[in-house]
Amino acid sequence: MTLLTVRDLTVDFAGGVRAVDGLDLDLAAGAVLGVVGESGSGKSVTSLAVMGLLPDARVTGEVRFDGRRLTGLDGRSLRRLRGDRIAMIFQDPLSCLNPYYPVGFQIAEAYRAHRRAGRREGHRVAVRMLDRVGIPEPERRARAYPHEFSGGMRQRVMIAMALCLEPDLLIADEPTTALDVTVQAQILELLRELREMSGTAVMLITHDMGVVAGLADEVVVMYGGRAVERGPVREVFYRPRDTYTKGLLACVPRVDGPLPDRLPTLSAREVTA
Amino acid sequence: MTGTLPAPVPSAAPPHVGPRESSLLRRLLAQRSAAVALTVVVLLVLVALAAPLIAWAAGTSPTDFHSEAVDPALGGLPRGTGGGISATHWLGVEPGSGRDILARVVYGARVSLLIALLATAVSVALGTALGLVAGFFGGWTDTVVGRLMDLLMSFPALIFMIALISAAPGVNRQLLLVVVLGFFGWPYVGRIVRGQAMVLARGEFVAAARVLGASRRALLAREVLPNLSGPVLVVATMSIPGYVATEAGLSFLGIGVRPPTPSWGQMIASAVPWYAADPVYFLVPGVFLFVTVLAFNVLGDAVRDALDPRSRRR
Amino acid sequence: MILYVLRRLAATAAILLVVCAATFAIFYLMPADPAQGACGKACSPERIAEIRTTLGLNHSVFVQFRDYLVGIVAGRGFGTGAHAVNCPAPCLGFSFQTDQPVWRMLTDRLPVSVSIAVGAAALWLIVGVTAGVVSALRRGSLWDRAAMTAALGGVSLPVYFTALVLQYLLVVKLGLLPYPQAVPLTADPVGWAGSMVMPWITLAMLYAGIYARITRGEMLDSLGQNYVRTARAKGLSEPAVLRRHALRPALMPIVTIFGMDLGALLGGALITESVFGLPGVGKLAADAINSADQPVILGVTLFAASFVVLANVAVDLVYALLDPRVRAVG
Repeated sequence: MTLLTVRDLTVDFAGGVRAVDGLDLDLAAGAVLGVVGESGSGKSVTSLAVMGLLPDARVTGEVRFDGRRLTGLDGRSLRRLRGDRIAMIFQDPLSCLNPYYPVGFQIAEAYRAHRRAGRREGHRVAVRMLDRVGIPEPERRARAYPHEFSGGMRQRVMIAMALCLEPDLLIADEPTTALDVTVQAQILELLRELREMSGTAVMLITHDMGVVAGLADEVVVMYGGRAVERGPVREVFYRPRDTYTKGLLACVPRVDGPLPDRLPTLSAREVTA
Repeated sequence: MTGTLPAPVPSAAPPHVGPRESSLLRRLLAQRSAAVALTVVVLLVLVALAAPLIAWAAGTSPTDFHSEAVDPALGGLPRGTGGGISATHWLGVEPGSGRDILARVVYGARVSLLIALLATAVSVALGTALGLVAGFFGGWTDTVVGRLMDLLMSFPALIFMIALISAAPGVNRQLLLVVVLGFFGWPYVGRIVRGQAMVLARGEFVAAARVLGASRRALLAREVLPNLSGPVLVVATMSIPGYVATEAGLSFLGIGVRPPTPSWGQMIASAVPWYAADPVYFLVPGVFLFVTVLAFNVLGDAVRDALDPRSRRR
Repeated sequence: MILYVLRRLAATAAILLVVCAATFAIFYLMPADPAQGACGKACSPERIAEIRTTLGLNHSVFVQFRDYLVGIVAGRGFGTGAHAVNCPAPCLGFSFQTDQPVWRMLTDRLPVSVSIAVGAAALWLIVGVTAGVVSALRRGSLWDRAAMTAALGGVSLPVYFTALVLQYLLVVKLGLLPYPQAVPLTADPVGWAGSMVMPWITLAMLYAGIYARITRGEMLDSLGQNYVRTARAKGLSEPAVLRRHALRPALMPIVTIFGMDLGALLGGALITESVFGLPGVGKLAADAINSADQPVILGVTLFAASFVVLANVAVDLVYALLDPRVRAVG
């Protein structure tokens, strides 16, 4: 069953910048879709467009979620879906958490907004979620502020916040980019575990082919606002058809191959040729 | 008290904003409000420069008494309507003495602008020198200058100026005003220059010049100083209206410019006893003061927007 | 936290001491003779010499400064015998012109200054912050441009000019309000408010302009923060997003300048009080300047400086309470 359908999505910003240009996406319930591309390829804008979080842009085309049309939906209904059935985590967890409120409050805030729960119940949920994402002493840490956490711990908090309502779809926008390499692995492992437990579908946005390989079932490669290649992960990785995808893959040094003298550079000419 | 201190300015403007005067002017003139403000400022400066000429054309001087223009039977109120506005006295006359208000207002513009601009010059000179030294050399120099700036900025400046000026009866007031205003104003310049100098001192092009064997003095003069002109121009422009207002305020309180030298604040103060019977007397210098401060404020905002890309999105 | 408070208080005491010394030095170094000032114009040289002794002016500056500081803590007397005057602690000097301890003159006039400052502050905070928030939320709209133009105008208005225009229009022309006078709040609340309306509006026009401009800028800054996007992504209602995630951070800098401005005004709204003839601390200062009553000028300077410095501390402490990051450092 298809959970998310995107048809002919186009996003224009003021000043004539077209960030996404006629994009199609399909994501089945419980599946993981990797959206890969370099910065500026339109992948983050796509995710914000799905969430309806692009107030200053002109969005055309169609986004359907669980059979409902999201594009053109009124703000109130869209808000009910956001956080509850579609959740999102972002790249830089420090700037995404409000420094003036304890993390427990910020997690509970999401829960309480959708479940009409009181302060106490919200706190209980926050503590349970912090425990589930692997934060030690969750009862105490729920009362701590974002600046008292390390980068990886902050991203765990973000994940706890996103998953506390058991959404059908999690959009993860570069969830590991701002983190140290070892922490990246831990966060990916956590995402995989949680996904297997809850069955949440994930739209994973990243520039890192390695991250996609470890987590995704299907992959879409984006360049210049368009999808240049799509398919099951294995197929795209082993038999890339598009020049750009080949270049992108060549940028990842392989453990099983000879070490190249230098990593190849992608130029726009190469891609359009 | 009143908003008489230099307005708060963005704590740090981005580096490398060298003002190219022609392009800055063009950018300013592109905004209608800034173009109007700039025109007003230029007109005011012209009026101030041409004050003797204007008084001569009006056939009077700021200190001439015109007893024929006031009515002793009415306690010295100007004859005629509108505070004695007539063909000979275009903006009316002072009640009591009959001195010509136009002549006094244009001479007042001289005092007001001169003191504000000189005070700005003093604060910019002090602030740039000390801020540069503190930011570029760091260490204990930085600590001392930084503490001094903190202290001066947390000082109740207006009340302190009043104490200082009122305790010095025999001194030239205009000179004292310039010194006092500049002295309490320099930390606002110094803070920004210091921040900029710290960034620049670690900048690559300074390191490059150092590697090439440039002396510290040459580094300061040729590499760092030119890069500071943008932010300094912004603070300087933004602090002028504050100085105009403070001078007028102190003169209003009777501790600024001394009579018979005219000053707008002083004129308004002497209009207080007459305000109910002769509102023109306080309206004329009041409107001049308001327009001057407003024009400099608009101009200050515009210069900041033109030179500091960060603030433009506001 | 306690350590932080103690450290701040120690630094405050140091600043107050510096202010005290600087003020004292100005009056000592300047050519005006305090004995002359205390005695008036027609005064015999013998009388002046006598007053010099009474005031302790023939001691060195250090002894005089020490006596002054001791007077603040323990009180002091001036002169001996029939001319002796007592100045109980905290003694900020004695005005021979009015025959009163400066401290009593200050405390007598403080309620008027507090009435003016608190009322005006409430007014400008409500008007300024509201206008700034609405402007930020409707950036570029007609309202935004009108409000920001008005704010710039308010910032540029000299208070004594505003005061005269208001008084001319509301009292002389329209007769809507009485001439302001000192009416105690407890005796006649309506009369009190009626007298205070014009000073409040006068000050609020200036400060509301400043606050509207700052609030708008801070609000635009916080609206662009990533955590506001997170809040929207959580599905919070728009009022909750704006109140908790945009307004709260935007108000932090306002807290700082509000404390400073209120502190400065509590020490006397010099010009406003003078124009309206309201006997507050600021009017006292203006009168003392005109009559060259030096002990009073010195006393008012210290008094007002203390308010500013203490407001500084209060702001820092409130900030530490409101901002978890500062709290952690303390």
